[in-house]
Amino acid sequence: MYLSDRDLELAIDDGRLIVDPPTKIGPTSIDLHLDLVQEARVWDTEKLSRHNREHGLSDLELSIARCNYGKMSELYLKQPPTEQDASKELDCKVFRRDDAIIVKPYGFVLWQTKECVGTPEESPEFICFIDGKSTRARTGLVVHLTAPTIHAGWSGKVTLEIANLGPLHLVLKENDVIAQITVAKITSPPLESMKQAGSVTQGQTNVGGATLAS
Amino acid sequence: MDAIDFGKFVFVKCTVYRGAFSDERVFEVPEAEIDDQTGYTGVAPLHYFQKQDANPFSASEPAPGQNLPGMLAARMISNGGDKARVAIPDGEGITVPLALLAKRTHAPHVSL
Repeated sequence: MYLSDRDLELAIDDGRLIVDPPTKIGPTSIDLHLDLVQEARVWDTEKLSRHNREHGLSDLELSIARCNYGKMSELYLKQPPTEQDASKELDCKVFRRDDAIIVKPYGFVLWQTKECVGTPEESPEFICFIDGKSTRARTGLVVHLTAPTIHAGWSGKVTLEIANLGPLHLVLKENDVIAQITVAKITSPPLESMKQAGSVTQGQTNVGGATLAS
Repeated sequence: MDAIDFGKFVFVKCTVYRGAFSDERVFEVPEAEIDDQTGYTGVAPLHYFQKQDANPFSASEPAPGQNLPGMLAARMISNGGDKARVAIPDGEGITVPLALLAKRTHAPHVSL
């Protein structure tokens, strides 16, 4: 059951839903804004290529099963290049111009929301879903890739996986309303998940390929 | 051996790295067991961390390329007496020695 505006307001007011700072509430959703422009991040493909070559691996290959996002993010995420620096790079699809990030077709950038959203750790009642804004989506803008769920009991700024699947050069700025969350009531506070109980991934084997940041 | 009662909410001692975003930190627990591997590295929002002296990390801590000892908020799943299984903010469950745990009396992220 999804929450309507009055229930969203009530849930925020009594602390069952975290949205900080407060933002506009629509009929069944809450708007989210882009964080500071200096918080945008792109993958440092040059550095990753160098690492792979040094380890006898193909330039940009990444073993999804073996990569560790925590280590990878520490080593290989960087701020987008300036427009001037981008002009020196071959096929640079994301760059910064003053207070804006320009995303060319098939460009990909990670950028957090200004708002911290989610539910309290103790007896959470809701899960939230990140979604785009329909008119912006028509430009080809994608704001999350396959990972829209904010699980019960988690809160934080949401990292958006932003891609441009359209033909235009999209200009994104701090405070742009780029996404929204919808909030659904869960039937009861969750027990520990199968994953946390250690049963799902046991017996899984690695499939080889690059081991990043080892 | 009787298990020490840590309660439902705990901290896990860890090493904290700067991470990619100002509101996020990378944590490493070398002693953690997960599946058939030892050692775990993950990512969590800054408000799930505190320093070992119980103060919060500032926006500039740790400095880029540096790390600091810290504590990660977690939830107790089971306590076996010498090791415990805890749920950490990135959704994983890890098994850690009890020596890495400390009681947590407050939920750090109810409201910012």
